[in-house]
Amino acid sequence: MSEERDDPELLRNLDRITRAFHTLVPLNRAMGMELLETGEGRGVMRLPWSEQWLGDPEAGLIHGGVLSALLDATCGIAAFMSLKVPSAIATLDLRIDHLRAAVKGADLCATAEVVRCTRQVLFVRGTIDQGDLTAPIAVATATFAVTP
Amino acid sequence: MTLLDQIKAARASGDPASIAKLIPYARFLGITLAHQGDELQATMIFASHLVGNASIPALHGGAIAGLLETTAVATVIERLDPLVLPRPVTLTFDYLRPGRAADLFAAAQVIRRGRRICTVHVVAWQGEREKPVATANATFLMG
Repeated sequence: MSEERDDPELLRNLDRITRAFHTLVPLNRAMGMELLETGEGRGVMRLPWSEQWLGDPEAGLIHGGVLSALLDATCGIAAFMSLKVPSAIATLDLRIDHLRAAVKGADLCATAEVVRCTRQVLFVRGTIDQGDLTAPIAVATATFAVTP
Repeated sequence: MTLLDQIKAARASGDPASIAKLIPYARFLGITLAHQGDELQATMIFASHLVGNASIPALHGGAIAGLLETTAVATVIERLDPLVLPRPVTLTFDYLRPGRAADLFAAAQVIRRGRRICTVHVVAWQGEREKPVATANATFLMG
């Protein structure tokens, strides 16, 4: 994790930009993703349950792509919140391990935090749960490029 | 008829497009499937809600991931005749170029079939297949 920040104004500025940007991301808005928290190199989002998220409607399982969308969004926010100067960022890669079934009827909550930020690349890890933090549904790692 | 049976029936009848209609999130993303020669290809039809960065505009990485995974699942069903709807274990996505505000195509290849786990490689492109927007490697449990 990055060193303790001594610039609360930067954090507030990043938070403000992140929240404004989040409301402008069409997919996030269309899916109803909610930005719950931001912090230094950190983001927390929730995706309320919808029948539209099913991948296997018979077994009642949420499509893996839903988790990917939520994790990409949340890891992106964490990445942005680690910047020293507000910049555009782009996902380079994303790895998701599906640990447990994502079941119908329960909201999805994602938490992401930056593990390392350099001038060019941000390294992030994220988790998704459905209410039980001791039994995560998925874990992810993502890298983002800071675009010039 | 179970969901998997319906999907297999759609595949057997030569109507892969109806497969995507059976999967709610695939419908949300606007994904359709069709055969191009011998190959099953998916298309994520462009719609404004699929955008991530509206100022470019560029497709959302999460939407691209959804297309890649759906394409992989449909290909596994077609090629490997699994006992259950394949469930994802691990997916890795590489984002190579921005996805423009246009349709995105994808196709997958099974690169390994084990008894219960298979590994699939997927490519998504817009203009040229040789310059893909994104690729994925995915493992699934087949029962």
